[in-house]
Amino acid sequence: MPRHDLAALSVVVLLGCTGCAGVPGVGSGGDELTLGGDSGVLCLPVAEGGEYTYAFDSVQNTTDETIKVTKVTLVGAKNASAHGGYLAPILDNTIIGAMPGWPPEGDPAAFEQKKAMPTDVLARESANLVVHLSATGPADVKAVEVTYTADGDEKTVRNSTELQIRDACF
Amino acid sequence: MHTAPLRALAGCAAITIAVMTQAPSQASAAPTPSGNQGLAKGRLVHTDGSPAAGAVVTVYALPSETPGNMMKVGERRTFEVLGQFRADKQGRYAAAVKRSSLARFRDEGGNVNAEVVARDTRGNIASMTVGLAPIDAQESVAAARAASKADAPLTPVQVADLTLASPEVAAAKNSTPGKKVSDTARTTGDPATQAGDPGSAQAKQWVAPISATDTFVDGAGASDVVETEMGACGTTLVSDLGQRSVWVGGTYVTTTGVTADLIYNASSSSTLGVGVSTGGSYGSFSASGSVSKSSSGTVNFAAHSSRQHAYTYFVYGKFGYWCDSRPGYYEYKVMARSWAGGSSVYTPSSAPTASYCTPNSAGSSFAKTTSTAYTFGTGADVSGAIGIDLSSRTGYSTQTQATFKFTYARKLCGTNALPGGSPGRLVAKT
Repeated sequence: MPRHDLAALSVVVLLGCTGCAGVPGVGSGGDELTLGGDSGVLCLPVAEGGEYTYAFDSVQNTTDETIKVTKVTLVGAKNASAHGGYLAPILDNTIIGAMPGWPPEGDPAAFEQKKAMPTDVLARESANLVVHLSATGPADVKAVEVTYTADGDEKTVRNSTELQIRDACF
Repeated sequence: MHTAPLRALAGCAAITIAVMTQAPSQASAAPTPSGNQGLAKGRLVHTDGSPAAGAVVTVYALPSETPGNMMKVGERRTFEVLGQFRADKQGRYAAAVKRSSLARFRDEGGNVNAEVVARDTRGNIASMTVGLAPIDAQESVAAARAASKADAPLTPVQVADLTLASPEVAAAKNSTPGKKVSDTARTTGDPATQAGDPGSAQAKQWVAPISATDTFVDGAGASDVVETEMGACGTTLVSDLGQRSVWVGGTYVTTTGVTADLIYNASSSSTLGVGVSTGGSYGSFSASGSVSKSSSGTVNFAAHSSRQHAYTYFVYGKFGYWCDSRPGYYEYKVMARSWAGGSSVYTPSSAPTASYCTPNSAGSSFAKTTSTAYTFGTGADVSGAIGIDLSSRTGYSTQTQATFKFTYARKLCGTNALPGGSPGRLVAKT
């Protein structure tokens, strides 16, 4: 699998924003692009190679216009960084999911069709948000923030799932 | 039932009305106890569907019962007025008061329960019971900053259109025919249906929570306050219906290598449906508003690798609503009074249909910590007393959560959306 790390240019990592994680609507968010919903905590076991596929959420364009998604940002990241942000199709209502390793095990068809950011979400369409993560041992990501352009304005929206990477999740 | 309408209410004792101040317009500003709190908003119409412009909405606080302060059968308690508001030309109203004024009406969990009563000058009436639960600390910065349950911002509610009608028919106009779990289903011991999908027939919700980020949380857009003299009104406990089982949640595992665990911690809030009747007899009740009640203890349901419907118990009662201006009760309401504790679980024969799926890797876990998307229309088992079962909705929160642990790589699927969104109920499958 070739590394599409040109997308890394569009990835920013923010550190030390733990107080605002997992709070939908905080920041300069609009409602043209939705991400997440009810809060949750996902735990993944530490991967040997330190790389992860984080594709646990979908974005939905609620408007009748195409929306350009420009970048993805990690919020409240500890010992974790992002190397690329992509959007993949959702096939049969099933997304790629989150798991240790990059690319994901089995190379799902949707993963092969992913597009690196910046990329578009068509009107009323949904897409699977895919983030290539790396982490040095146990790590935390409080939220993932997507930046997009709608009506000429740059806006952000966050997911509602906190990611924990642990030696053992249970 | 005496037919003298509640029009006479307009001629009795004066009541002090909370004075509103300008509501802040930004939800992101941290509310304080001295700030405003949105309670309920909605629209009033006449029986012909036209807007009930100028109707007066009175919001009364319902008595707060706790295990140590329960009403006795026959005991009367007079409602206290939280505020009065006038509907606009379209019949719309939005009731808000100072948050600090609610402190003495909160129960142990910080909930406030209220009665929204609308009246016009022709003696018509409409009423709805509404429960306001504290906003979860995960849902807003303001809630996280609240020093205690006593000053936490509350989740205001959207009330469905209410129809102003004569007192004899007002209850029927503002309620939905009730349902009961079939006797066939009860033979399994599980109040849910045998199909394991109690959500197959979602009843109309007369009261729905408003988003924690909506500016109405802080009372923005509140209606004009009015001061109208009203007679004293209140409630009498007519009968104690005892402890009734109430649905807390359902977790489903239809494959190997996955365990599910549901925890109902102290201060978990449940939204529990209210039954209303003009005459109060068995079989005359229909489904209407809701109250918000909290647990004062923890129920840790056993982890399982199958399908589980989880229940706890609340004390229910039948109340008669009265006003001094007329004899007798103008309507009866059946509602939850306090949490009783205890638990029971059942294994339904099948899991609900869940089509929105996410693969989960071996060794991973996922905990859903807030979810309010699912209401079980017949989740409170009271049909033996009044002829219908009432609804229950327990959202996952910092106090209540469902956790799935994956020993093998398996899918986790939501009934309404993907697990990372607002999935409703969750099913683990191959």
